[in-house]
Amino acid sequence: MRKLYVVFSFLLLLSANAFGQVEQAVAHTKVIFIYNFSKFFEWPQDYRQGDFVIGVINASPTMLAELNKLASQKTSGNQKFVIKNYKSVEEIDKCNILYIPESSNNLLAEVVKKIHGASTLLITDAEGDARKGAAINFIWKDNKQAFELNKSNADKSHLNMSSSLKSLAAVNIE
Amino acid sequence: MKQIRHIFCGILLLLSSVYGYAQSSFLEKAQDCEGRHSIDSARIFIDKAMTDANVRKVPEAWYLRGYIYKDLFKKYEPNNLRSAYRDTAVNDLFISYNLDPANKENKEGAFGTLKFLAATYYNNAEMVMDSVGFHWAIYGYNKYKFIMKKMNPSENFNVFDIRFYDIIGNIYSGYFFSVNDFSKKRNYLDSARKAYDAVLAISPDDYSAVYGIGRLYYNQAVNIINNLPFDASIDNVNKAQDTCIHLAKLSLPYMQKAHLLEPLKIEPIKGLQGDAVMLHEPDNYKMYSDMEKKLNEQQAPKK
Repeated sequence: MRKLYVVFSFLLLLSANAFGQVEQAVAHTKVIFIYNFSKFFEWPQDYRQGDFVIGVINASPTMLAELNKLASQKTSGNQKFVIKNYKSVEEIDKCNILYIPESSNNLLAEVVKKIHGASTLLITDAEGDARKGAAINFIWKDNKQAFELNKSNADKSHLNMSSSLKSLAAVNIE
Repeated sequence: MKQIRHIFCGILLLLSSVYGYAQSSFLEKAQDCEGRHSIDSARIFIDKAMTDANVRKVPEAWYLRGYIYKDLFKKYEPNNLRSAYRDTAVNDLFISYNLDPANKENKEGAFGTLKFLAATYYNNAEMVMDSVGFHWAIYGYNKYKFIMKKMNPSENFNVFDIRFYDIIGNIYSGYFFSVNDFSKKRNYLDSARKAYDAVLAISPDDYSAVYGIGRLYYNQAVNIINNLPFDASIDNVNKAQDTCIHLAKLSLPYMQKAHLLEPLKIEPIKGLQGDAVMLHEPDNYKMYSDMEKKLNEQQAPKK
């Protein structure tokens, strides 16, 4: 029976790290959404050259890891994904997509001001943000990760949006 | 072996007097060979002897054959769970006993050898526990139980069963965690669940099984999401999330019960946090996160 306990302990160790993966699952879901969004929008010519930059403000290590994984596996057409993790609003430069995690939501107004006039798709993660300047805001609907869409905010950023995105949004804000 | 000689003198006398010496000569030779450890020759003679219908009525003859086949198993296939030698030995020893259950001496001899053989099944089962042949472990364990129960129908295996199926459940869980192939994962999940259910049927409050089931569904949910490719469509993400919620709901009552059974263990609390994330229950997530923090503080070694 001693041998059985050795096996038993080994298997418990094998599964001990399982609980860390839920954070990864949440981040992974968001990154799949973000990658999908990159395909539903068309950026002006000067944003379709060079790298396709996805910026994040104060990304968690898990989110950053998932975004970097995306960058290593996928491209946006001919553009290589480059992930930038901004530590402050001042650092924000030209990017195609800018994601503000819920933990940095207090910076939203400042960010909106900073990217005004730029063709940056602003994605947020807190209730009401689609009415405060974001084109896309992650929400929860029926216990699922979903998003609300504010087309007029996307229009302000001179982004052409595919009409099919509307049908995928949980909420459309006109 | 002393005992077998003693028993066997009786057979020879019996056979000589009833059927004549010729019928017993093969048995005598078999016993002689067994005594000299010439097991292969003993096998030839005993098999010849057992073709005689009259010999087949004699419990001691079956006992001798069972004993010889036990030695064949020991010599040639001590690590083979499916050894036909051992199966034959077990079968013969039970026949020997059943032909004359009142014969104390025969019973003692047969049961002593059967106990030894049962233990070898158990040991062989242990040996395959850590390999891919763990289903053979179940086979070996069931053989062990079958023999022991036949000798003593009232013997209670609950403690052994709980321990054994807990471990089997954890082994299947281990394979479930380590493989990437989705259909294999599904099979391992089902097998682990069955093993844990076997434990819970005996002991509904067995922490290891309760937590094991909760952890299986929790992990399956997380795996489904984490294995989605980046180019999964939003529709497919939604479908995956539906499945994930379903699995988190299956996990939740087991995690809750595991937490009730062992309130000071961190793992169920972490599981409950994870379930709360998947079910988007921020208040519960916070509650279990705070609980984990507090517990970690309490359990941290004091400086």
